[in-house]
Amino acid sequence: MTADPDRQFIVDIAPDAPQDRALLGGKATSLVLMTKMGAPVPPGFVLTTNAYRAWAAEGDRSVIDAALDEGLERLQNRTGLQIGTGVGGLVVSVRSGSPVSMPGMMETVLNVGLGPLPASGAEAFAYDARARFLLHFSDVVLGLNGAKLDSIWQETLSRDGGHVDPQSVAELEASFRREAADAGVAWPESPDDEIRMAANSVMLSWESKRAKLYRKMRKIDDGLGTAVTVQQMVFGNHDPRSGSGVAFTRDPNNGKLELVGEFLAGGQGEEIVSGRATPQDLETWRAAEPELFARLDDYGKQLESEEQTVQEIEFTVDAGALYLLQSRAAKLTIRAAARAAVEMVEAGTRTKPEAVQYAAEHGFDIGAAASRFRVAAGAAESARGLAVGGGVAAGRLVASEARVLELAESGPVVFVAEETSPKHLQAMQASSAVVTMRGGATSHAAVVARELGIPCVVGVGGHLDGERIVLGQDFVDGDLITVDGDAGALYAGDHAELDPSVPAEDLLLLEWAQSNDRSAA
Amino acid sequence: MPETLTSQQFRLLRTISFAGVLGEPGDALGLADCDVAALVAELRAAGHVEEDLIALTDGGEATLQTIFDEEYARLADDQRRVMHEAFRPLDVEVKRLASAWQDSDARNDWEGRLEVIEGLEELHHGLASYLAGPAAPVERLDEYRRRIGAALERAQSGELDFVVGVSVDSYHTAWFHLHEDLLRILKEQRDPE
Repeated sequence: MTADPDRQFIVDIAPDAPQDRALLGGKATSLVLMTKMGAPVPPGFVLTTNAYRAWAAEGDRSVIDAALDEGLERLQNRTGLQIGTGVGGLVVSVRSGSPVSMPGMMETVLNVGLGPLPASGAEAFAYDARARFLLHFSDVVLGLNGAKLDSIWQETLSRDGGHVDPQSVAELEASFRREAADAGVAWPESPDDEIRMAANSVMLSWESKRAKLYRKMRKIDDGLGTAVTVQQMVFGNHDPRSGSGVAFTRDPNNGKLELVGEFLAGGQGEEIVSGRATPQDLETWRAAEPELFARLDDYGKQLESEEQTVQEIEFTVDAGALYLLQSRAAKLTIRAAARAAVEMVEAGTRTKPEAVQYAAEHGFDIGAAASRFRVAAGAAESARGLAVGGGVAAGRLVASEARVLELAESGPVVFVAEETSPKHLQAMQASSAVVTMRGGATSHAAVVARELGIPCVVGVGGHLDGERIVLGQDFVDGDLITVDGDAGALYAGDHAELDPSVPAEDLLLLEWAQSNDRSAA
Repeated sequence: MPETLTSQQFRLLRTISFAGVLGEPGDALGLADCDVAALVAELRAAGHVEEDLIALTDGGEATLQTIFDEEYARLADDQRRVMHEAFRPLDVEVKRLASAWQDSDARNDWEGRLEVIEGLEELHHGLASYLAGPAAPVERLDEYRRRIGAALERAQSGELDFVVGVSVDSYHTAWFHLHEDLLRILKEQRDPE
């Protein structure tokens, strides 16, 4: 180990590694946590963000190559396997790992380091893995024309019983190699080359136009850099007792505390992510593999408790053995986040202010929870249009901008127009709801009302006729009207009432948010 | 033309008309480069702007309409048709993106937001081609390229209100001013959706 911590380029994924997101990236940090928990994690190492920064600043590949060689040497010693000896040897995944989440922007390359396979003798799934590698590597790492690669793939590969035949994999490799030569791109001459080129590609993905724009938008420091995780492959396509899955520690749609997700028998993880194959739900898998499910559920609970966020876990089963490959904060619906936040407080894993913050990060709107109205039972609908959202509000119906500004002083006003344009902005800002006779879900009125957070119904039909405002029935200036932006319905009269069926967790979050504000004041 | 207005006065008259009422004069509607207070005083003296707020008088609206009518009578029917038709797909796209942005916002979905920003950038190239092509006969419309481009740049830099925000000169706001301008030039109604 070098003395200068800034020159720490290699860290093994092991219980004694630092849980340092800035150094290892999010993905490897979660792997370190899993090893501490004793969870089954394939052995691997991390090329740290320090290595990235040295590479970016010094433009010197040799430093990285040396670090990579050292990491691979250690990994070969730990596993007792050698790179380039086929599927019985060491095969790795090369994954990005930035300190901040950058969804879908960074590269991952699987099945790296197999090298060309013999014409016979290797296990059937190895040819499958090699073919997948060739396609992905040629596309992502070498940057060859994806459509062309796909068409070669379709023409060349013949499959027998779900496995590709060795001869067609050899042909595929030869064809892709020619494509690379035609494009003037170097083809990897050894399994070590494959790993080096994949790692280089992962690091370059930090600098992609898309990744840069994302960081600029989120004001994320470009200097953070990415780590590269090199990890022994486990094969979801190995045999009938293999597969890959994604599990959530709570239902991401409703927040219910149960392990849910998907499992693709005989498949590798990227097939689930890409949507190319149709997986089964986790309940079905549970029936087939109750013990593995129970272990996964247990690890999920531990991970959620450690990370204090609902977790999304990637896992693989290789010949009946469970491996965890990644765990990260799950994307949740607002409902799910609100429920999870409240239940975490009840379980004592989060404080109330943290719960409010967690729900807000997932889009929970405290203000909307505070003023949830509904339409009283028995109100007769007078007209219907397209629902833009925003809840329910009632007020006096007004069709002129000047009258809106005048009447809004003394109570809620509903602004109605044939359609709106920028000149109606002030009137809309002063209104409690907006109705238009023409226009669709992306019209000016719809976009502005959503921005203002007020109920809006568009495309109701009707017309303005002197004093009359015809909206299903006749209204005149100042008549009371109720607008249900969620249902797209209008009711003559004031029928808005406080909704007593607001979910209990919303009321709790509201109460906690208000007590935060009071103690902050 | 009933009277002579400077190009800056014409520009402010348009902006006030499109905005209905001008709130805080300043850079909110792409007017940072002109002396709004002085121009308002001139337009008020000519009776085009109300005394108590920055909105056009009926006379001001009539004057503006006359200028539009006279200034753009020179456009041939073919030019009008092409200007109108070539704008339509761009307008559909900006609306789709604005709506997608709000959906992403509601879910706090950063990947979705990124896709919208990328879409707006793409659309901005489309706008530049439109202004240099079908809309080239009305050279001054190029001011919207600068205005919308400035909003895009702010949004890309993390000032997310500049996508559809109503309190700043957002992409959506500036786009709708352009749309309004085109409708007046072409004497068209908005397309039904």
